[in-house]
Amino acid sequence: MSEKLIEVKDLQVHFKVKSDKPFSFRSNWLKAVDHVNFSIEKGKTFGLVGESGSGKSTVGKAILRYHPLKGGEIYFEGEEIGKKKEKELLPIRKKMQSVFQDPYSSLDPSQTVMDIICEPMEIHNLYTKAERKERAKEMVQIVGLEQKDLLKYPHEFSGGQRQRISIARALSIQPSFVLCDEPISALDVSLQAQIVYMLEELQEKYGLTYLFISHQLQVVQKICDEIGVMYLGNLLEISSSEKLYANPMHPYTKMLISSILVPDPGVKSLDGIVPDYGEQKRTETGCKFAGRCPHATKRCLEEEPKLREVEPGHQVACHLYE
Amino acid sequence: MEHLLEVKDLAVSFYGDLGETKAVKNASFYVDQGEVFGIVGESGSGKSVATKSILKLGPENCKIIGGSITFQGESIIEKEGKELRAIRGNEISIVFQDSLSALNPVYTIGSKMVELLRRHNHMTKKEAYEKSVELLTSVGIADARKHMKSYPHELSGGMRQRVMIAMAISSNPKLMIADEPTTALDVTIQAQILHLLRDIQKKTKMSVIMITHDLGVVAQMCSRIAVMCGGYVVEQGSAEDIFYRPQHPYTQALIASMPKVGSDKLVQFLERNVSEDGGDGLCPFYRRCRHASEACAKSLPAFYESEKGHFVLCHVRGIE
Repeated sequence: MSEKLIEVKDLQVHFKVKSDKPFSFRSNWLKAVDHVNFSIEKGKTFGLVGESGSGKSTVGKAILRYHPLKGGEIYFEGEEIGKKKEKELLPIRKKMQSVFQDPYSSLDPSQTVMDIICEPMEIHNLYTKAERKERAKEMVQIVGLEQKDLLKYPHEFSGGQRQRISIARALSIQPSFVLCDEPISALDVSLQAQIVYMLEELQEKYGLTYLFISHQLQVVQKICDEIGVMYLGNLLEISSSEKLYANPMHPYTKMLISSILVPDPGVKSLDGIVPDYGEQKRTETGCKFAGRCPHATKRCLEEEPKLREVEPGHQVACHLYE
Repeated sequence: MEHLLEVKDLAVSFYGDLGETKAVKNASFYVDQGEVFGIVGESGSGKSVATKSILKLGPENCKIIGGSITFQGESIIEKEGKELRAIRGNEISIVFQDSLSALNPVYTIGSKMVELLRRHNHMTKKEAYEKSVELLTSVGIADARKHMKSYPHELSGGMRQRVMIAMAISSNPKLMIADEPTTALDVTIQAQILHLLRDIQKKTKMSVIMITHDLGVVAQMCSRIAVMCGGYVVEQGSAEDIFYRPQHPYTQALIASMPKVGSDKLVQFLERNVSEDGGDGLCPFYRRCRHASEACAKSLPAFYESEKGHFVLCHVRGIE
């Protein structure tokens, strides 16, 4: 077993929301992430998939400590970072970087590409000014842009090129972990493949570890070693990516995979999908998916299933597999 | 047989600070009665602009500079004001991608539905209210009466898209334009909305234009498909023609690049660079094309019919 770079234990993130009662000053808490456990091995890619509102992005941001934790522990290289203060976090943040979905709003429009790539190095006080510029020149070449692009502004680039700039910025301080939060969802299909291949190449070259968040199952399968399926703040299934597609176990995973439309007019995949009109409902007790699950029993409504290993390397949180 | 809608040699330009930008250079396609027609292409290929121009829904600086649009045997390109409004929303309706910005946030769903029905169908307030409830129920909104009082932000994305569809079918249109109706939705919700659209289409026999970049959606929904690239319709044919026998190198690359479940491969193809698109009167794909020949650098190819009803805009023929 190789070394774990990141381990998340019993992670909870709650958000304060307005109470639904009028004139009430008491606030409700939305359990965005509810008791989540998983780990990522060094040099591997862990994928998180799920519908919007499942808490997958919140998990990623919580690992980078962008959100305050309600409970649980996060281990980075064996060190607990969940309870660290801002100041103590700075040396750790040097090793963790992120690439976000929207390449339009995640780059400062008033900065040149040079400024954008140099900024993380300045914050972490790395290198001299001249060295930073050298490094920026090196970085743009690594991500497939040209040196003359360093003087341009973000609006002069296409979506795919902007995502390359985001990646160059993230890698400029040589992190060991990169959070990729829907990095290709906003791009055309023709560009998605390029960015995925580049991320894989860089991973091999620099031994990076990725947490790859996406709602496109077709793409996640390609890049990830292991995949976790999230639903309303819970992890429902963790498995290697081959096993997840070949043998999905949780009814929710099955539903997700069967909802993918096959780009072939001869395969009537839309006919095979049973339209499910259930809604996402956050329940206090029982399995959160029970309301939409075709196999739900009384027990599912009362008792929350725990994530347990059903096969080697395949964990499922469902009463059906006990 | 006469086509329900026929668009011929449509050209649309935007006039901005930097002069003219040709969004659609030459788009020709037709839609028959009762069929679901798909238009696919990357962002910036002009697919949305071309269809919005049918209803003149482009921004002010957007002008149709050439071509003809015939709807039910009547040219509608020079229609303005009252005449245009009689078609827009009545005969041809539209469903947009982003339902949150397409619905007015300060009005309830009910007040918008009632306004729409009264304007197009000349109903009384009460009739319109009852009809709205009926329409919302028919698109699968449970508790429609309660949701008449909801504001758009109180509904989920899937429900908002259902409301949009209810509005679009309220006046029994002959043609519905669906501009990326499911792109912003989760896969499971996407399947629901597509099921709904297909059921409604089968029941009412209206024609639908589906604009999307998702080849999975067109493969499952559409009987005929047009592929757009750089402002041109480069290939047009039945779904089987396009998916099994694509002739244009761009279509071939697009289909090969679709990620598929169960296959580990992703096919790369060249990034589009606007400055590298062919100049005026050249094939929009030729700089990225593996099969480009000398003829491609000189003139725009003409359409040829590779088999019945399958049109391809390319100099090179018989590419496998």
